[in-house]
Amino acid sequence: MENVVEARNLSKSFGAFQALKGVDLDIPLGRIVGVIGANGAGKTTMLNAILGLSSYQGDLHVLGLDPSKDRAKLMQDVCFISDVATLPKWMKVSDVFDYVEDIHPKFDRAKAEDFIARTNVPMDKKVRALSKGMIVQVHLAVVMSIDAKLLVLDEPTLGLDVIFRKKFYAALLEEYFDEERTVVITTHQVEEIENILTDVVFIRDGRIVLTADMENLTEQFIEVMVTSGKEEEAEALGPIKKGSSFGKSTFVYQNVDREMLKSLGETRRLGLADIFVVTMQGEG
Amino acid sequence: MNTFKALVKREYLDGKNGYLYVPVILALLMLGITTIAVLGSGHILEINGVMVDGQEAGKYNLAEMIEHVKSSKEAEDLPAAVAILYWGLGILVWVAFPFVVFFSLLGSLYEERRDRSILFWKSMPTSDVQEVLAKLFMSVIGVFFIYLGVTIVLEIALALILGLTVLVQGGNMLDMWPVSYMVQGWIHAIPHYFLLALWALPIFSWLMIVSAYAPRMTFMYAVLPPVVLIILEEMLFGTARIAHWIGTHILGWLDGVDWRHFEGDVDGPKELFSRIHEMPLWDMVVMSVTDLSFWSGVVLSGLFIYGAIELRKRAI
Repeated sequence: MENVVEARNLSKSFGAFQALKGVDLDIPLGRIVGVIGANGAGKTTMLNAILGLSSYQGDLHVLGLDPSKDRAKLMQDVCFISDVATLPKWMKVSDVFDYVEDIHPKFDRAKAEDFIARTNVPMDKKVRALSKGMIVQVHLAVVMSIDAKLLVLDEPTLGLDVIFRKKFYAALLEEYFDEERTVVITTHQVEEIENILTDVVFIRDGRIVLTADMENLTEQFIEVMVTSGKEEEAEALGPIKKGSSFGKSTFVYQNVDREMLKSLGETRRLGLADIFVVTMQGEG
Repeated sequence: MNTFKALVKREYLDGKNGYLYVPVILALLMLGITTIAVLGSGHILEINGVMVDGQEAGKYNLAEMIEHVKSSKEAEDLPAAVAILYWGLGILVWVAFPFVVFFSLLGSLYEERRDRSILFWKSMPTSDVQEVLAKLFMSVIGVFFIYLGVTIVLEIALALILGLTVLVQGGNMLDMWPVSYMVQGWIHAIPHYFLLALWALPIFSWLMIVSAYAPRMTFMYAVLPPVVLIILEEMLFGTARIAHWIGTHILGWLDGVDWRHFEGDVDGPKELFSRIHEMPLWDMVVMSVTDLSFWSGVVLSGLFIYGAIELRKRAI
């Protein structure tokens, strides 16, 4: 399968601080990849390198191009929303569309206008006069109407309300994503994207701790609410995390047969946020 | 659409206030003043105490005065005099020009960093080279042509108003339309401005690199370093070469031009006009390209522009 992103030993320092420490990463076409990590883990640094927004050491190819040298060319096939509300405030929504239409060969204006028509965003208002949610809708309309291979979203919904965030991801999944595109997302609201992701990348202290297929990963981690009296049996299977809720012990297992765990009590798959937490704890 | 053209258009829209509205407002102001001046009571235009043929001419209205000039030996000077009058009135439009150029260059690579829109611009397939050059082009060349355009419209409007005035007063409207002189003036402005801009390019590109670099207070970052250098030079060496260099590049280079065309008395507007237009453009070019200071400016401009491009590449 064609890789959209290929990084080998990707590093980046800011003075004495090493933000990325030799990252190896392959991202294939047709995936929705969540990059999960704490603040300052290096997510944005890595994405900025991929987008040609910053310099780096190591080997990095995005769609076969070197982003630090060929950003302009790369942006024919790559779109991104870094941070909310980066649209120029002095432009009217229609000016934004005019500009992108003039500059981007793969922009479908009719599609963008159709998207905006389904919202309550006025075309003739300046971006300055729009709410934060509206600005994101305009930006989303732009990127969804560009026929790109890679879309990078770095905290695209920060500070927006939950209904809007749900709509945002639904639109992305239903109207944009297909097997010819890859979407890379970072967000703190992990639980909102976990059901649209196909892959995850865990990053900590400038290193990639785990890359996994979502389906595979969630099958690996099972949480058991252990029936009282079976604690010893449960302990013997080697839980990676122990806790309690509602007075019962809850054990988390990795790569233990689910059927076997069912005999210990009620089982459930672990959410991505919890998987992230246990993985980080296990690593540390 | 051509990418560079689209970028220049965007710059124009961004700076429309200074690029278009300011000169248009100034032109309207001048038109207003002229119209009010024309609408006198009784006489439409009254010119008191004009000396014609060495005699006190008394009170004339515009048409009478023109008839008077036409019947005198200065008759052939009339069209040039009218054209020079339009120029003079048009100058008001240009009052804002240096400020608009200065501040649009100073904000060109700063504002986009401040409001983070740079992240949007960089998500588009445009290179930093194109971006920086488009900004420089709009702030220095584009703005000139807009101001020139506004001036042309203003001169035509003035010719209309004054022409109508003369017509109403019973004169010949065409006396107020020295078309050939007007057009010559517009055309000659272009190469002269280009030469002037080339001399001032190190100043312009300095403003751009400051705009790409300064974390805030761009004005201080632009002005303080040269001022400090000038003071240090004065204190350490007792010389003023930096100040002189800067002055030379702003307008001081005109001092070096051979002004033989202007030696001796200028006999009337027609001669003034012809001397201005015989103004040694070619001499100016020759003088410039044989001047080390000119070339040092070109080299420095190249370095500053390169620096601005490199800084923009790294800016987020």
